[in-house]
Amino acid sequence: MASIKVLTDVCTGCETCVSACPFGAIALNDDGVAEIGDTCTLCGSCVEACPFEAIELTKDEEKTVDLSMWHGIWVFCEIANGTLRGVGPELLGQARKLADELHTDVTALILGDEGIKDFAPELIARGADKVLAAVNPGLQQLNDIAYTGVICELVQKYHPEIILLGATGFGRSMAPRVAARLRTGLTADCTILAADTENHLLQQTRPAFGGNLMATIICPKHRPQMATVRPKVFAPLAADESRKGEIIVENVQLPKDILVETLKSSTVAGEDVNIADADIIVAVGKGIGSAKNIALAEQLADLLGGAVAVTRPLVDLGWYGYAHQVGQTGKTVAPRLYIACGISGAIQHLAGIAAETVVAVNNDPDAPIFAHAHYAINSDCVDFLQTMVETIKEKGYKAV
Amino acid sequence: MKIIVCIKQVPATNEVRLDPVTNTIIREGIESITNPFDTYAIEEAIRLKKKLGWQTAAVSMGIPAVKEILRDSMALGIDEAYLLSDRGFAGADTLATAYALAGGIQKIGGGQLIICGKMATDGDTAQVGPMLAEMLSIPHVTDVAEIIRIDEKEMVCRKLTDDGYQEIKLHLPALITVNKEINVPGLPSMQGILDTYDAPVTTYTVSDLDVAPELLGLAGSPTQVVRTFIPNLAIDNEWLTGTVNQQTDALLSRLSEHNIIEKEG
Amino acid sequence: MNLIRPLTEDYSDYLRDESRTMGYADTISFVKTEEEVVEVVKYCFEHNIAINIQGARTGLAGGASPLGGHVLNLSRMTKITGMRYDQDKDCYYLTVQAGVLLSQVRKALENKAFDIAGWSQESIDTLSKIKPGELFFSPDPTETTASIGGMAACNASGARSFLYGSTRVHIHALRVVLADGSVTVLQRGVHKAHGRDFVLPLEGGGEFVGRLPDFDTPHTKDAGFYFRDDMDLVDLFMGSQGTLGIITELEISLMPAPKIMWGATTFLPSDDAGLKFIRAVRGEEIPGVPLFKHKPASLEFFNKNALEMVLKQKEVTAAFSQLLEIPENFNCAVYTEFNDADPNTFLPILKELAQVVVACGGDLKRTWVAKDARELEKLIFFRHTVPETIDMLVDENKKNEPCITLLSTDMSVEDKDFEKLYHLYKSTLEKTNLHWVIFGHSGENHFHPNIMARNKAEFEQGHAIFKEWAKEVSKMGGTITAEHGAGKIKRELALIMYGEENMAKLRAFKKTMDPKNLLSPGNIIS
Repeated sequence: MASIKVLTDVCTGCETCVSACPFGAIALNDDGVAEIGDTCTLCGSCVEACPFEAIELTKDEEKTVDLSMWHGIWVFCEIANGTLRGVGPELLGQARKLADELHTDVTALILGDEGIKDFAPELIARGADKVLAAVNPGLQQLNDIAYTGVICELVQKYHPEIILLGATGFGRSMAPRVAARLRTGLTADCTILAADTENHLLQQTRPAFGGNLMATIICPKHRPQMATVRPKVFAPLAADESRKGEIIVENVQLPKDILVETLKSSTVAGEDVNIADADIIVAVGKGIGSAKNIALAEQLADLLGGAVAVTRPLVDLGWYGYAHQVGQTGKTVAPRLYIACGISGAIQHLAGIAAETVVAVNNDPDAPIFAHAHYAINSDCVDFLQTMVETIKEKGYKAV
Repeated sequence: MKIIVCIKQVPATNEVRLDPVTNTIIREGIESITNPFDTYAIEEAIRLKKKLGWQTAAVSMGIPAVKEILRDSMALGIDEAYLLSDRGFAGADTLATAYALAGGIQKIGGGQLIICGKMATDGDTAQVGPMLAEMLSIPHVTDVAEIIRIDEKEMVCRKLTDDGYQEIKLHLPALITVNKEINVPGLPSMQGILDTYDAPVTTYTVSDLDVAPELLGLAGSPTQVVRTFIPNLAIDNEWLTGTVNQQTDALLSRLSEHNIIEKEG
Repeated sequence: MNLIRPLTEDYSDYLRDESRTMGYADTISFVKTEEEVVEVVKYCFEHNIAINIQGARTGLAGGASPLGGHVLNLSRMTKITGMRYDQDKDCYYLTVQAGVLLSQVRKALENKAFDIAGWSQESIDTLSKIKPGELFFSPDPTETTASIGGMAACNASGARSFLYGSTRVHIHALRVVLADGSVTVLQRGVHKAHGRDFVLPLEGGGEFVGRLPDFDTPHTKDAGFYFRDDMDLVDLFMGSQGTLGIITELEISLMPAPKIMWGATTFLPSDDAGLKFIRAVRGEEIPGVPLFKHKPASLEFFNKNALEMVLKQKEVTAAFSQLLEIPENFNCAVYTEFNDADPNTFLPILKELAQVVVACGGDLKRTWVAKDARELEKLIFFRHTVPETIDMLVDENKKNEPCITLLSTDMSVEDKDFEKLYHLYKSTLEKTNLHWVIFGHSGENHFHPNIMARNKAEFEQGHAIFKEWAKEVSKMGGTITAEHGAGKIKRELALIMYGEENMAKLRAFKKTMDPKNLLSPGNIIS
């Protein structure tokens, strides 16, 4: 069994580990040396932090897979209702870079009915060397059990070393099932993916503790290495129609017991915009003052062809739908422009923003949001929204 | 028929607080609470218990102090509580956690419905629920906003998707993860607290479960954290000053320069 | 002058406060420092312009709503300027500008998050010794966006003042700008009246010599003026609602934060059961009820109308969707909160409280318990939805009849007259066709009967009822305003309480301190 211990004769009581521990599990004992308490999760932060190598983490030798038989990067490209979700091509772009460093190839994995083959040219243009199309009419509907069964069989057949998936609603539901069936590691919501060429590993970096800490994670002894990435974290490559690629069609069988069935799907009235896909977001927080003032944000969003997002307190107050919540307990968004109106900038909210340009409008000049904004406007956000709407109507601005 | 709720103890806040005088991170005074999403799972189990008359149980993995939040769930109306606590469970990633929970759930005879919170606010992965379903070989639905109907054989629930909602039918036994649209978590009654403040919480160690120890804890975790660092979130910013009209004009011209917006025509 | 701007349409919000009283004024200034306050005050003094003082405008009596002249808005004086520890008193003090909000103070203390730029070394050293959440400032008016200056000016209190006392006792020192622009600095225990004579030392030399009115203000908890023999001069400005000077900076005393805060909301079968439960929890000996010896931090009452009103509003107001579901077959509810330095007191006190609940006819299965500050927020949210719903209804009614404002009282009497007061309210209101509720701080005997007038006739009827109550309460030796201050709305009631003779004395006293009668016209004094 794994264990961690402090070498009491080496420890100087410098307390570096105490502040390094993300779980507050370390304290100095009566002898003035570090003692590791029950809340330790064996994460190893202290081992790395200790200037005196006084902390030892022992991990048992484990069974490993034969790494030499796993090759290539797969990108699962989700096709929902006949539409290719944007995150697939975004990941193909990133996979292309990784594959070039690791000297391997990129396969776009698509599942669905016969029609999905039509997406192959685009996927190749966006960086795929191969398109693996798993075809069965039963795959037209996104279904965790059907997709898990098909993907796991293909993994057993082709042995990809890395699988990247979009952290869409479906991706976040299906990927853990696949990882569990394959008994391999899965890292959620990565924001940085890098190649360790020496050890042939995928370095997966993701926010932890609500974005207060970044953690780099590897999966050294299991294959495939799996990671999900939220939409808009990476930019797709420009489509290159001259690229050539191979198309492999697999006519697959569905698992026997599907057990789950989608009876109907609906887009909610007024909520038909998925904020994760929006290029311009007008976000409002409690500083908006009242529920009715959100209409101003809606007007501005309409003028710019964008969407409205809100902070958690507004959802808790019932002023706006949960589908529009940005932040740790809501959605992560990566628009070109994020206009934060009356948002103080709690870290939980900031964790959900990965925008190209952030504008913050707040009447509190000390609001934390300003430290994260490219353009800071110290003003009442209701005044600001009114003026923006009027000015844009008058001067005729629109989104590019 | 049994409903099992999986709950996790998390720090009440993830906020990194810096001491204004010494500029070091303050760690004191952060209490531990039930993962906020799990409170919706507990509430839903209690509502189903009232409606269907099924038994309810809560399961958690963690240090002995986690018994407190398990007792809290009992004060709210959960019938039994189980804690998986052993050094052998420590250091688990989502896969090893799901494996341990699956072992615990099998130990207590399994459940017709397993309810988890949508995700935990400390890990923020939303992976344990679906992984657990896979290990128990049962279907699952994530992000459930409403249970429309349920009987012993199947249920229909409304799920939040990227585009709206879906109505999904699934065969029981099954696992769902719930979001905060599903209910309003209540408070315990005085009777509930008096009945449960010293209620027994069954604790299982690794050897109590029918599991492979090498698949648990740190050893059973395929993923490893190799580095942690504090991100530099601050950026250079420009303050747009003047009246609100001047601020708006300045902003619109900056956004035009950046090719985010353009004048029509 | 630069600071003073015309009060154009853009600033119309600054004509009203939370009480929905709409005033009028010609100019407004948003000052950031005491120097700027002095500049504005001197200008107004010279040009005989009335000064209406505003903090965060969360008051419920129209005190911040102007009556002509200039609006001096302090809401941008938002700096916490230092911290001090007094070894003899073993007490920490925080210095804040008048516009600092209560929520700002709470957040800073809880997270030890202070902007220490410009702090003295002593302040920084003091801060370095404290831990986050170790200290707290106890006054808790419902609206946490109240400014500390405003809280002092109306001696605000809240649910927890039952245990900790109202704002007055937690204000240790003050800087005050007087009517002519001179500045006095006062500290509790240092600057005191001699009998009724007093001297205010002025900055830069000189002094103001005065004499207090020769009557005592009510000895029950009271939000108005405070006059006693040998009193602390800090208290002269507590509850004076800006009529005697402008508070620019305050030193507030901090207490060790309780280690546990928990509460229970009990539903009871009748008003009498509710009142009995309140008396029992306050420690009164009542036959058939076990003696309860632990003083709650707060005791809040909700009558049936108040609960039904909230339930009805929940159906239309999405913001209330997270409201707990109320058990069926209730009559009234009582919220009891306990604060303690020892977290282990929870269970023993809960067990004793349970016996009182049962003895008063309550049901333990229908008594909600919030075990910690986090869960308490749910109960406090529930409590706050009552005044919030009233505000919504008043706003709605105001659309039909603009003269309508909040019709709420905060009269209080001594403990012995507690039930008499409740029945006075209830029996009067039951005879009418008005829409009314009773809720509030039953610990200190001040319920808030509220009338949601739907038309002008009902609004006037409400006012007439309040005047009758003011007479009855004055006869009992109580106050017409325990919590919100008289402001402009309750001026007539203040006259009933003080009587013509004392009101004349008040007027004369104000003239000595504000000879041109420029400060906060229309507040309290008629």
